[in-house]
Amino acid sequence: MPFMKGRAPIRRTLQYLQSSNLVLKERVKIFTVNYNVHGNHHRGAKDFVFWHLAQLQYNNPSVQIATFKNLTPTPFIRVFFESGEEALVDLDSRPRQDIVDHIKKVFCKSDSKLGEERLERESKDNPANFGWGCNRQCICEIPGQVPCPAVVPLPKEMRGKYKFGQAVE
Amino acid sequence: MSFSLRCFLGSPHLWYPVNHTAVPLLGSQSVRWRKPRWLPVAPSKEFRVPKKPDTPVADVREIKRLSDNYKTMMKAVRKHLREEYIRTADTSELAMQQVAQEEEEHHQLMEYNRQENLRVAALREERIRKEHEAEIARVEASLVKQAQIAAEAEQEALRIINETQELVKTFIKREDLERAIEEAMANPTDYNFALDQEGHIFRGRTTKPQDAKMEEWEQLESKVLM
Repeated sequence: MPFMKGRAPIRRTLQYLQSSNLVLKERVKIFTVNYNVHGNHHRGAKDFVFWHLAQLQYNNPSVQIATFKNLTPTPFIRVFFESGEEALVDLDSRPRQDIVDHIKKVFCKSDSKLGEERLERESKDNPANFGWGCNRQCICEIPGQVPCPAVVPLPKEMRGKYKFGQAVE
Repeated sequence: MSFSLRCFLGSPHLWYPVNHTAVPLLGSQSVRWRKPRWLPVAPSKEFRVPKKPDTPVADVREIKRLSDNYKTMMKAVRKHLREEYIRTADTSELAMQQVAQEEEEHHQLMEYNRQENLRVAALREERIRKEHEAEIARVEASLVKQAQIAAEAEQEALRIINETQELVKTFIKREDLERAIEEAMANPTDYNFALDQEGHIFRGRTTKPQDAKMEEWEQLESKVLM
């Protein structure tokens, strides 16, 4: 597998990225992790960054996510909200799963909310619509409607030049 | 007659798709000629009386009927849409309630986060205290060990000093020099000897075991532990 380079290249697969349900709330704008590379009490934070940060960024492309390594004696996460408010999460000696659960509970949308949003998105995509942004651009593409006059000329009764006389020479 | 082309903008960036060949003409109006408003009415048009429309009464009634129906239907549709908008807008009661609820949830979660931080802070203090104690114990142990090593070195030094003091007593002083030389010359040491397997030592170059009786053979004291 020559292209799956690096440690745990599964983290870069689409399936892995899409499998996480860490979707941050709209009010979260910046997500920052401070941790050290060495030290037993930093291990949980380090594992969280190693396994889950890519998933977090994939699910929230408009949130700024940054890491600061080897600057702090204890690991922590700092979250900045839309209103300018800051929240700190202490990660000293906490296992990776514990950190994931805490972040999910405090900063992410709940599973029920995600389900609701998915239903809303599906109902908005009415397949019968046509126009810009839809599958069909014009009403003439829909079966059962009048075909495009550029392809099949309209009958003379419907054409203005015959109804109101040949005005244009 | 001259005409002017009034253009407001260059090529606008629009969110909807347009026929791009017509884009240069977008936003421009052409006016061929307009009489200035301060000029008076031309003499040929001064006493114009516009013709009143002479439509038959039945036509007028029919048109009014159609127009009224149309306007009623349009008003109904607009009212319906307006109500839907009011119902689903961001400032509606439901939306405001939802916003208030979200704010409440946010406060609760921030409180929960703060409690978790306190809990972890307590654990961290504990861990640091333990590490500190371990460090102190380690330093104490190392101090003890160093003291031990220093004491042993002192012991060794004292032993060497004592041995040397003993040795110093055997040194030959300058005034005893001649006496020592005469003594040495009078008592030459003979390094020749022979040993047998039982440890009997026969000193002298030409001594043979037969020369002395077996009971008088000298036994070498062994310094090696058997």
